[in-house]
Amino acid sequence: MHELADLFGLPRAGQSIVFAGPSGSGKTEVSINLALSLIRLTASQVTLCDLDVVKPYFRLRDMLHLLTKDEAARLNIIEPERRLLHADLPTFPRNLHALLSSPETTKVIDVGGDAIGAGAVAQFRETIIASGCRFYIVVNTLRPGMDSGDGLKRMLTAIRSGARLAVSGLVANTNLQAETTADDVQRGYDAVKALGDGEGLPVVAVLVSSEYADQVVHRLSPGAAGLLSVIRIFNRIMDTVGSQTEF
Amino acid sequence: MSNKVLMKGAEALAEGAIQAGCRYYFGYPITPQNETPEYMSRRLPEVGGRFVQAESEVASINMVYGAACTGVRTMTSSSSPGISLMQEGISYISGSNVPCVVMNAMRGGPGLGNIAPAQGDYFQAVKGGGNGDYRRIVLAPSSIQEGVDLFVDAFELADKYRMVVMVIIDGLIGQMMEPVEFKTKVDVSTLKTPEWATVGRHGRDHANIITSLTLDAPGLEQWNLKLQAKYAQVELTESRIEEYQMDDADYAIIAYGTMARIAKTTVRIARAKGIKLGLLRPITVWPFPRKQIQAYVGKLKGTLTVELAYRQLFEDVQLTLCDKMPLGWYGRGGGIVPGPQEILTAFEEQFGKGR
Repeated sequence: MHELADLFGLPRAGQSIVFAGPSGSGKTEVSINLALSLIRLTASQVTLCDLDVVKPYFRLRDMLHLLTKDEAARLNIIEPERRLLHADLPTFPRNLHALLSSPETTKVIDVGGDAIGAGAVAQFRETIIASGCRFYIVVNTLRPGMDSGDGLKRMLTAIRSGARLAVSGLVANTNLQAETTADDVQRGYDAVKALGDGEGLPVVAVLVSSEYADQVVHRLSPGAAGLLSVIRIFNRIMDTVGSQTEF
Repeated sequence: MSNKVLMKGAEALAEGAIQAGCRYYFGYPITPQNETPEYMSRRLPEVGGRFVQAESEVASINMVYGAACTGVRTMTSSSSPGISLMQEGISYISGSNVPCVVMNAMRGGPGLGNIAPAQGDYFQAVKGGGNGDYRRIVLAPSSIQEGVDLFVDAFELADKYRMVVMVIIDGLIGQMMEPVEFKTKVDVSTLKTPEWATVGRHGRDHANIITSLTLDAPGLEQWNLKLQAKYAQVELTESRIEEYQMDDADYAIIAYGTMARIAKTTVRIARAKGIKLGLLRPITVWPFPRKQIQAYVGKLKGTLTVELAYRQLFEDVQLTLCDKMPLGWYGRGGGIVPGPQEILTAFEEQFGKGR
């Protein structure tokens, strides 16, 4: 089991790590977990940036109360103005260019779903590339349309052309929330690995949630186990309504 | 291994509709259900169906009206203000006696309101919205899986009674993600084109004409009596409720949809404290499960109606239970969703410690 930031390799101050992926693949969860991991492992300032113009329903801000005081104190969150948070408008935070080019803070950038969401970062690509950008695609193969090699390839092509950034690697985040089995995680890794092999891209991390990690971790292939990281789930809504299995 | 996939509610319900045999979707985007038309636009062409993004909600519902007249399974979806715009069409479809399904992912209101979860469209869904004496069957799922399963029933009921069936969810069910399984797949080639469909004369001696216009008063009265007889039959046979922890209950929460799901946790917390609380969850809010709720008269010391609205569901509870027991109420509006503990506190404030 690995610290997430170790799997990605520690970025230097000022660098940007960008996450894109199909809608609902877990970009926000990965972003927040990596930002927290960077806080644990480095002394540099970490900025978590919500560039999601596609799904205004869930915002990083909603998760803040789930962080420890120390985590919240050291994490700088950038998102659209408070009064516009739920405006359903495709707005960006102010001073974004200045922030993205700041050499002091390491940026973890959560962009919106699919090619349209990824397109939102294209306008900042010069700045992001100049900051020394790494660009990862998060995949949950148990999302609709992601169950075949063809579907995965189409998704990758679309997001790549939307974001106009070179892809650095893939993140395997296959899960069915609390119902995830070791089989699911293994198959997800195998499919993402096959996609990466075909495209010359590495799989950087295999993610499991702390909810079910114990039942899963010992049953994975060495390849998958070597990239394993346990993440915390920040889901305000599920906390309120309870899981379907209880229901 | 299960065949589950992880889906957002608004996508899962779209797939549920397709599995139920829906092949024609007409709609216009609005949060929090944009994933429904988006999903339909991608999936319907794959299964030989048609997706049209209309120029407005008014156009969408009238396209549904047109498709419904041909006897196919058709639907639209929207959220509160968009559903308001569709009321004229829903009345026309009801007056024309043709089937369709309309889904409303309710958001905060009135007016443009906001995109947060709410249940303030209860009156509109259950009591009217459009003009004239019509009813529609209203299904209110409490989870994504239940919504998917209910979509099959929605189309069956629509066809059986030639009625508008509404599926009401809220922004929360529309936007949250859960594992789902599609258990029933309707083979559309087995669906027969009904006798009344306007798809050509095919050797008949008359053309089928579908209209909601009847100029002579006695004729329109007769038409209304026919509709009323149908609605009475639906009220008699189609109401559904879930009764949770009711066997020994002293008190019951009455709630539907997301609110009922949260209230289940309240019931568990209350029982851990020794309060014998249960939950009555209408699955059909029209027809309202009156008989099933009235069966608890004499057994319960009181009910607490809980909703994401202001005394709308409560009105049906009052009509059902009248003065037969103390009737409490708790609700939040504007997109605020109370948690399980908040509901329990409201219960204790109104009924003491429930002993």
